[in-house]
Order: sequence, then C-alpha cells, then structure tokens
Amino acid sequence: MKTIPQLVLLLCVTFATSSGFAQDSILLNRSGRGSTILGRITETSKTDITVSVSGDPQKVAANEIKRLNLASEPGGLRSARNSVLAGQFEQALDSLENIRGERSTSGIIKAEIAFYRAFCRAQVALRGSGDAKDAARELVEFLRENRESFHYYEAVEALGQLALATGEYEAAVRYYDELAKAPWPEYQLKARSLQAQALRADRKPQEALQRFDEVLSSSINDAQAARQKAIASAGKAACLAELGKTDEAIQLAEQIMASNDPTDADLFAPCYIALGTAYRKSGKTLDAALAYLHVDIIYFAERDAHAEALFYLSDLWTELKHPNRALEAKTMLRSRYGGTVWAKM
Amino acid sequence: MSNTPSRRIVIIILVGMTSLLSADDSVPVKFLEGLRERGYFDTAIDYLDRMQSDTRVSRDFKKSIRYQQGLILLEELQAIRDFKGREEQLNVAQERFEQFESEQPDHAYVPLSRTKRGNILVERAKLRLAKSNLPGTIEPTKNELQSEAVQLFQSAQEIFQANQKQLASRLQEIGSDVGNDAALLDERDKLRWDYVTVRQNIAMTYFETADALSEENEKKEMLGKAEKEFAEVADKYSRFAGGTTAKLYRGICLQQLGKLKEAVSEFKDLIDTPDKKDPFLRDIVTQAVRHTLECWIDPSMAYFDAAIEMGNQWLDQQMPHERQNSEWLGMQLQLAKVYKAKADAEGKNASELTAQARKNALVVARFPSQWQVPARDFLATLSGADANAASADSMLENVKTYQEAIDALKPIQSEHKLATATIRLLTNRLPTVSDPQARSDMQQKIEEAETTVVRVQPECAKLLRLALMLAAPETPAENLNQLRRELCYFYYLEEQYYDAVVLGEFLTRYYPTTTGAATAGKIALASLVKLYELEPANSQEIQGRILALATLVRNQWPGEPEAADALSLLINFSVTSGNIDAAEKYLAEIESDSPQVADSQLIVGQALWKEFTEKARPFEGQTIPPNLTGIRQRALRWLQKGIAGRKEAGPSGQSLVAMLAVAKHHIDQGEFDAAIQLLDDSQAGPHTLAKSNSPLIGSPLVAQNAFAMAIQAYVGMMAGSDNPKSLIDKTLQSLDGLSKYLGDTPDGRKALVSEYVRLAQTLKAQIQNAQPAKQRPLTKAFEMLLERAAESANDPAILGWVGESYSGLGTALRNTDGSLTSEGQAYSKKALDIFSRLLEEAGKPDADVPENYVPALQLRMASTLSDIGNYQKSADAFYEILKFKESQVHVQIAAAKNYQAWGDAGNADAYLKAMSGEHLIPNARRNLVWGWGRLSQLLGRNKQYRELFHEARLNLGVCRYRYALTQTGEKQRSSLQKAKQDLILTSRLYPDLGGAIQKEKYSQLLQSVQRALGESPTGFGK
Repeated sequence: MKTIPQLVLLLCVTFATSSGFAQDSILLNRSGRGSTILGRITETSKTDITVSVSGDPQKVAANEIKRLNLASEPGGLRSARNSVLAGQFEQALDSLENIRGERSTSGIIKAEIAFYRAFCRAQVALRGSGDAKDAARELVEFLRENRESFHYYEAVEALGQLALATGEYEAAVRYYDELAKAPWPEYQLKARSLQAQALRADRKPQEALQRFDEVLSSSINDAQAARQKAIASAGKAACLAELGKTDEAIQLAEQIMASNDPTDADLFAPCYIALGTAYRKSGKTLDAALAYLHVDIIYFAERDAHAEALFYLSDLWTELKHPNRALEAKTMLRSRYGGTVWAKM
Repeated sequence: MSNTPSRRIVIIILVGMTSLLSADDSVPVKFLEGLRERGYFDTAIDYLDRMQSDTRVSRDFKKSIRYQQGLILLEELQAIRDFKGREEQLNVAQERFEQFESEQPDHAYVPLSRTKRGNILVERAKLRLAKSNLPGTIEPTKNELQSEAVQLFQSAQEIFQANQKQLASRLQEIGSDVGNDAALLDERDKLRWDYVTVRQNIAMTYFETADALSEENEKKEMLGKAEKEFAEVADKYSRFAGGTTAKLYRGICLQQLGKLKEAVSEFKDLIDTPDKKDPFLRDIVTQAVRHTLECWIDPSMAYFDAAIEMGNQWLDQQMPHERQNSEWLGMQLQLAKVYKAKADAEGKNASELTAQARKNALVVARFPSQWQVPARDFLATLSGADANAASADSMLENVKTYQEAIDALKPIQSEHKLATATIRLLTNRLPTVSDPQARSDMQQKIEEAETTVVRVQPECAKLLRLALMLAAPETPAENLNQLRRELCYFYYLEEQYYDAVVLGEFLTRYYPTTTGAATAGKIALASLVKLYELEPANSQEIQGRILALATLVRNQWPGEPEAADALSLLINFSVTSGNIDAAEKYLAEIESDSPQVADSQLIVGQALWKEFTEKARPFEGQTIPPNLTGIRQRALRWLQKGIAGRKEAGPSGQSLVAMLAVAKHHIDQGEFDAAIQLLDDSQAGPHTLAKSNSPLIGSPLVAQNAFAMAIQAYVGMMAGSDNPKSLIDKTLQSLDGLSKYLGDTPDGRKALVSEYVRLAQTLKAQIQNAQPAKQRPLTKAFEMLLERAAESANDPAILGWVGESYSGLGTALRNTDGSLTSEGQAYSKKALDIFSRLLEEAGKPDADVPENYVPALQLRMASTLSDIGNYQKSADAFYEILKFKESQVHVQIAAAKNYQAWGDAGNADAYLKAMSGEHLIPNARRNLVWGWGRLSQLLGRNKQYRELFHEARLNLGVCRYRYALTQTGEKQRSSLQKAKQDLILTSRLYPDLGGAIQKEKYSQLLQSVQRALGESPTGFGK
C-alpha cells in the first residue's frame, strides 16, 4: 500500500508531467530552483521572450535561455536542438529534414525550424562541408522573415563567422557591430573581440590591437568578461607579433599560458598562433613550426586557428626541407577547410 | 610490418612512461605522442632539446628528456633500412641513454634505460648477422661478423642479467605485503612489469644468439637455454601477452632442437585457444599454425593432409584486413610449401597440388612483406626457373657501378616486357579458343609468363634503385629522371603505391619538362586511386592528395592527355562528392578532341540526369518547374555530346546508359521517332545490341530497359502511324526479347507481366486521349497486339494480362447511359473467354496456372459477367468466391455493385439484395453476400476504411432511393423517408461526409430524395 507522502509525490509528478506536455518549457542558463519555466510563449523579440505562466506574463532575456521545448513541436525539432547542443550539426539537419507537415506548424515552431536549419547549415559550411555563401543567404532570409526572433544575435554572430571564413572581413566587422548592439555587456565585449579578430585576419593588426585593448580596458569584471579579456589578450599577442613586437608577443602569450588551464583550447590555440607568428617574424622557423604544430596536434578542434596553423605549416615545412610534411599540411588544409580563405590563399 | 616483441616493448614502455609524468606535463606529453604518431621523430628530438630550458615543463619531465630521446631514436630505427644509417642511429640512441644514466643515476627509469642499452647491443648483433648473410660475403668476414654478433649478444645478456638481479632484489626488499602504501604498490607493479620484460629479453637473446653460432652443439645448447627460459616465462605469466609469446617461442626452440612432437604440442595449445578475436592472439596463432605446418612436412612426420586441412581452416577464418598481414602471408606461403611437399612425396595429383601451391604462393608474392621474395623464389622452383633466379641473384651481386646496373637492367626489362605482352596477348585470345588441349597449353603459357613477371619485376625495381644509388653527381638529371619514371612504374606494378606516389609526384612537381614526367604523374595518380580503394579508413586524406596532385598535373601539362586524365579524375571526384558545378567547369577545360572527354561528358550528364529525375519525381504528371528543366537541358547537352563523342570508339556501358536516358527523355516528350532512332542505331543502339545479345551489354538491366523503352516507343508511334501492323510486329519481337532477358523465373515472369501491364496502360491512355478519328485504329492496333499475345503466350500471367486488357477495352467503350457499346460487349466477352480458359486450365491436375491466380481470375470473371449484363451468373460467381472466404471486402463490394447494376437494368428486387445481401447463413442471422448495409456497418468501425465506408453508405442511399422510385404510394413514401433519415443521420455522425466531393454526392442524392418527397431540395442546408 502506498503511504500518504508517496501518494502526494505521485500526484505532484503526474501533475508536473501532464502540464509539461501542454506547455512550452524554457530551460535557463542557471542551475537549481527556477532553472526551468513552464508556460506559453506569447511574444518574442530580439532581446527577450514573454511567457505566460498561469496567466501572468513573464519576460525572459534571450541571453539567459539555454534551450526551450515548445508544446506540440515536432519530435524532429527537439532532436535537432539536442544535436546542436552536442555540436552535431549534420545530424541536426537530418532531423530537420525529416520533419513532416512543417507548413501546418505554428509561427514560433516554424521560426525555430527555420533558425536551426539556417544555423546548422552555417556551422556545416564553417566546417568546410557546405557553401558558406548559401548558408549566409539562408541566415539573412531567416532574419528578414523573423525580425523579432530571440535568436537574432546568434544568427548575426553566425553571419559574422561566415563572413570571416570567406574573407569578407568588412562584412564581418559590420555583423559584429550589430552584435555589439545587444544590451548585454558580455555580448558587447565578445563582439569587440570578434571584430578585432576580423581586423587581424584582414591584415590590419594596428586597428585590431586597438579593439583588443578596448576589450581589455573594459570595467566589467565578471567571470564571462574575464574570459573575453583572456581571449583578447591572446589576440593582442598575435597582433603584437604581426607588428614586429615579437619579444613582447612571446612574453604575453607565455604569460597567458602559464596562468591558465591547458585544456582551454579557446585560449591556448590563439596563444600558440601568436607564438607561431612571433617566431616566424623573427626567422625562427623550427620554433614557429613547433608552435603551429601544437595547434595541429592538440588544439585542432579550434577550426579557425587550425586552418591558419596548417597554412603556415605548409610553408614552414618546405623551409625545413620536409616537402612531404608540407604537402600533408596543405592537403589537410584543403580537405578540411576548403571553404576558408586560408585554403584559397 | 610485423609487431616483433622488441618493437612492442618500445611502445609499451613509451605508453607506460607517460603515466609516470606529472599532470602539468600533459601538453608536452600529448604533443610528443602526436609527433611520434606522425613519424616526425626528428622534430620530436628537437622539441625535447628545447624543453631542457623551457619553464613550462616540470623538473621531472626535464630529468627524463635524454631517456625519452633515446626511446624516440629507437622507434625511428624501424624506418631506417640501410646498415650505416641504422648503426649511426643506434650510436646516437646509446649515447642518449648513457648520458641519462650518468646525469640521473637515481632516476626510476635507470633500469629501463639499461634494458634499452641491452636492446641496442642486440640490434647491433642482428645487424652483424644480417651483414654476414648478405650474398657475396666471403668466409673470413662472415665468421668475423658472426663472432662479433655472439659477443654483442653476450654483452647484452650481461646487462639483462644484472638488471634482473637488481630488480629481483628490489622486489624482495618490497616483499609481497605492501599494505596500503599506494606509492609502494605502484613501484612494485612497475618493477614486476620490468622484471617480466627483462626475462623475456634474456630468453630472446639466448634464442637469437643460437642463430649466430655455427657449431651445432653450441647452437643446441643455446637453444636449450632459451627454451628453458621461455618455458618459465610461459608458465609463470601465462595470463599475460608475454606468456603467450614465450609459449610460441618455446615451441620454436623445440622445433629447432628437432623435438617436433613437443613443439607441435606447444603450438596446438595456442591454436586451440577458444576465443581468437584479439588481434595480438590471432598473430600468435597464425605463427603457431605456420610452425606446425613446418613440423608436419618434415619427412619424419609427413602429415600432409592434416597440414593442408589446418592451413586452409585457419585461412578460412582470415578477416579481410588480415589478407596483407605479414604473419598470414608467411602462413600461406608455408601452406603452399605443404602442397608442393605432398606433390613431391606422393606423386599423385601432382599437377593439381602444384596448382594449389602456385595459387597460394602467388597471393604471397603479390604483397610487400618479408615473405614476398621467398614466395617468388618458391614460385620459380615450381616452374623450374630456379636456375634463372639463381643467375639473377648472382648478377645483382656483381653490380658495382651505375653503368653495370644499367647494363644488367636492359635484358631483364626486355624479359618483363615480353612476359607481360605474352600474358596480354594470350589472355585476349583464350576466350576464342575452344580446343581443350590448346586452351590448356595457353593457360600453362600464361602461368609461366606470370611466374616470370613475378620473378623479374622486383629485380627490375632493385636494379633501378641500385642505378639511382650508384649514379655519380655528374650523371645528367634527364637520365636519372628516366630511371625514376621507370621505378615509379615498377613500384606501381609491385603494389608499392606510396613509393610510386612519391616518385611520380616528385617528377611532376620538379621536373615537368623531363621526358615521361607526365606519365609518372599519371602513375602517381593511379597509385593514389588504388590507395583510395584499399584504405577506406584514410579515404578523406587520400582524396585530398588526389585532388591536389590532379590539379598539379592539370596545371603542369595543360592540353596534354595526362591533364585530360587528371581532369577526368577531378570530374569523377567532384561528381561523387555532389559538386556537379565544379565537374562542369573541369569538363570545359578538357580539349574537345581528347578521348577522355566523351566519357567525362557522360559522367557529368548522368549525374545531372540523376539529379533531375530525383528532383522531378514529386512533379510527376505536372508541369516541371523551370529550374529543373534547366538541369535537364544541361544533362541532355552533356549526354548527347558524350554519346556523339563515343560513336567512333564504339559503345561502352556508360554510353549505353546515357542513350537510354536520352531515349527516355524523348519518350516522355512524345518524340518517339527520335527515341527509336537512338535505340535502334545500327552500330551502337542499346536495343540493337540487346537484340543481338552483344557482349557490350554489360548489365541485364541495360538490356531490359532497352527492350522496355523500344516497346514504349513503338507503341507511342502507333497513334501516328499508317502501318501499325509493322509496329506491332516489332513490339511483339521486343516483348520476346525482353522475356528472354528476364528469364523463366518467378521474378522474371512478374517483371514481364509488369511490362505488359504498363504497355496496356499506355495504350489505354493513348486511346482515351486520341482524337476520335485516331481512336479506332489505335484500338484496333491494341486488339491486334492482344490477339498476337494471346496466341503466342502460354504463360498464365500474360494471358491474364490479355484478359484484363480486353476487359479494360470493353469497359472504356460505353454508351451515354453507361451501358457497354456492342464493341465493348465484344471485348468483354473475349476477356471472359480468356478468364474461363485459364480457370479451366487451373482445374487440370498438371495445371500451369498458379493456385494463387484462381481467386483473382474468379473475381475478374464475375465482374466481367456483370459488365456484359449477365447479372445472375455474375451473382452466382460472387457467391462461389465468397463461399470460399466471406470476409473479402473488395469482393463483397463488387457483388453489391452487381446487384445495384442489375437493379438499374430493371430488376427492382436486385436493389433489395444490393442493400441487404443474399444467401442467409443458417444460424448466423446474416447473409453470406453482405450488401451495402452490412458493408457500411462493418467498414464504419474502422477509420482506415473511411473512404470505402462512405462509398457503401452513399450507395445504400442510392439503392434505397432508386428502389423507392420503383414503388408506389405509402411504400414509396416510407422508403424515401428511410433514405432521407439515413442520409441525415450519416451527416450528423460524420459531418465531413468523406470530403468535399463525396459530400456533394450525398447532398445531390438528398436533394433528389427531397424532391421525390415533394419537399424543397435544400440538401443538408436545413
């Protein structure tokens, strides 16, 4: 026989489950109590969504949303979202392709499908498997059709990445300008940092350096800002190297690496790129190759940095009289990052 | 390369070492692993040198740097082939280990470092032995080298034994009970590991020393020591890999000591291990099988049959990836030797046994391994060519200068050319020879030429390599490049594809103007394509290399045939990866007079055609969107160009498929003449070739499609033809041809009937859509076709189709009141004749009509009887069918329709039967033939049958209404009221009434009922 507390628990569970089926659920970027909101999404904008919780409207900022599940959304959309969170964009696209009766879905579900489809195509293109320009067109189309989507800034950032990958640096800077208009400080910092990276890629190290310094001098000091600043420092080191201040660059990169966890690929990959640039500029061919090889062997998941490292490695190996290794690097660059400027240079 | 125990030890120690280092060193450790995995050993050494002064690595890491460098140098040794290079590498490695031991005397790795120095001495000893075994090494030098080897082995043994003592004493100090002291436990485990390793080294060194001793007694004594050591390791550590290896080597020692039975017993223990999935164990077992076979062909045993059985049994368990594995190749060569030994010993079936020996040895001779040369030598003994082989060896030994190498090369190359030409010529001629003796002679000559090729090819490669090595600095580059080109070719033939790629790519990149460089580029590309097929795991990387090299070849020799080859490859890969736009761009670059252009055009055209057909599928029967017609146009342009381009060279499988695609397009567009022109082209038409059973029709599918399309085109032409008879003749001939290709199998017959049915549907559609003036000749043509088919076919499936077609023709010809015209009746009667013929046939004991045709025939018969107005017979026929199985809904519906049609023909009571059925089942309170009423009740229960339900419900209303009209007074009124109530009730229960069309029918019926009742015809409006 069930005890009273067991029955209460059972009723709670039943209630929670049944209401979960009928309502939209929004999982927030925090843990513990209040990390999930159940209700009905009534409105969306670039910066937030409005959820009707038991009749009361509640606003949730877009940057706080980890993911959401919409009531009566197709299973394919849910699987796609899970695949995106796991970084499996091709699989997500497959799930989206298998959604049936898309035309009869409601506005927000349709917008979600359109966003994930465009976003995944962008990520696949960034991995070198699709056409970056087509992917960008699809994202632009998504933004045109869904001006008030809470995915607005994610889409803008992806557009910036695509522009950067295809060598359209000015366009990338413009997209990151738009990203900087987001009302959240961490987005603004990230946008400046990304702009600086685009400027560096555009061979404008002086301007890039100024943007990185802007990030570094920001008065915001929370955990996310600290991370953006660390990444900006690595970028700054690369700019210094390109401006010929090689000793300063090496010192800065080594300092960053000495005080951070080496499993942080976001940070270490640009540091090794900075070291590679500095050694290359100072004519230390083997040291440069060793620095770039760290990206190739350990931090190869950082796609931009890996493509750059492979590009320089193919030259450095030739200088070091290893033509086969040069060919290996070039082949890998072309096969994995065929769509990037590095492969086309 | 085989994973020898010593190599395994290097790897195990490297892996083990990483666990000893601090977590802070994870980046350098991982980085070093990456460098080693890629074979960047020199860079790894340089990196470690730099780490000496790097502040980011721990002190522990720095202390071990010299030791790590020593290990990497030993690992690199595996890739160094020449004696001098190996000696130098061993010197540097030894220096690093000595430096390490003197700088860090108390380091935990010191025992391992000593073991490594012992291993270096073993390697040096082996080098001496290898040198002593080189052909041409004279006796005093040979003895000197062997004695040096023995001394080196002994020095190594001293190191190992000293190490063993130290390890044993430290292990004794620690004792077996270490309590909870984790550090001590860790140290003890490592020491135990080192202890097993050193004992293995001791045993292995005894074993290898025996090889260096020339005195039989000394050799036996040393083997005895090795056997004892291996036995102890095998017994004590039987659960470990080391124990298994020791068991194998114990067996080998016993074998070499002549104790064959004991040896076989050891090997059998390994062979009988139950679960042999582990790759390491499979290698050991393969070696055990090889050694068992060696023992069993010894004259003292001579167990040939058992050996053959064991060898073949184990070969049967070979996995695809093991085919080129050295251990397996060694075993297979031994199996070949067993066959030969049996042939020599027994004399019986000698030629068959020798053929088996040759077959197995040829496999081994094909793949690079340590067994390749012995396999070739063995093959030479099979054909009595050992004298040639011996002379070739001695010739190679005498080559001392570049010119001597070139001179020696010429006759061997000629021999190779002659043998390859013989193989080509005789292989082409063989299919045309029917005399068995002549065929057998020819086959023997081919085998002899193959043996010559197998023997001579590696000699050519050796001499070419020798010539390149012996060339003086002033040798003209052009001459050297010529040798490189030839060596590239021989590497390709020897399936040493990576080597072929390196040479071919070198010439392509750096000497594009040299003679034959373009051919070398082509060979390199062909080698990469082979590697792409052989190494699916590396396909992505290899594809990248193919694209890079093909692009280089294209750029180096624009407009040349090699560039066209490269472009063809680029086109192929672009098409495979779905990038047809890129393929079209490459295609535009190939010179239009190049022979490759047509095939590439066909590839691109077919890829576009496939894209078009896939994208156009959803628009079947509708207008195709303009973007798709664009793709179709591009596809057709390339296909037509390709077909025209292939015309001179003759048709190929690809061009035939292309022609079928274009013919299909013509048929879809109604351009039947154009389709026939293509299909019946006298030289290359797929239909022409299929009719003449040409071997050019590679796939039966091509022939089937050719016939099917020709049939469609002929039938299509009938509408506009003044002489349909000749077209019918051709159609029937093609149907015969198709029937032959499909074969007399159930599937073949089924496919043929589908073709007949498709043909009938096409004709029926043509008749329906034709201008009235054309309808009659078309119907006549169709009738003729049916008559011919009925006459010529005995196949029940075809006859069934003929009957079905007659029935279809009949029901298509109706008067305005829906009844069949007289012609329609005539066709339906012909259908009835055929159905009865078939049913009659089915009743015979040796009937050709499959049993499962009978119910379908009965149903068609019953329906056709209804069509011609013979309602009673039809009703009886339905009753017979339903008696057999009542629950056939489609039969019940057809039976109800028959009653309804009977009612419409003036039999009012038939409406009642249509509504309520007939033939009461005793005690069941229902009729066997259900009628619309019961049908609607039963169908209404299941959503899946909603459409049929509405059909039944509506017809129930229709019958009720029409029956009412045959009545008068109150009976009529009550019947009409019932009809009205039924319809209104249906609309309340099922508001959508089965969709707009069905709803309209219900509404019109209700309005008729309302009018008959004298009410306003509002339908469901009120």
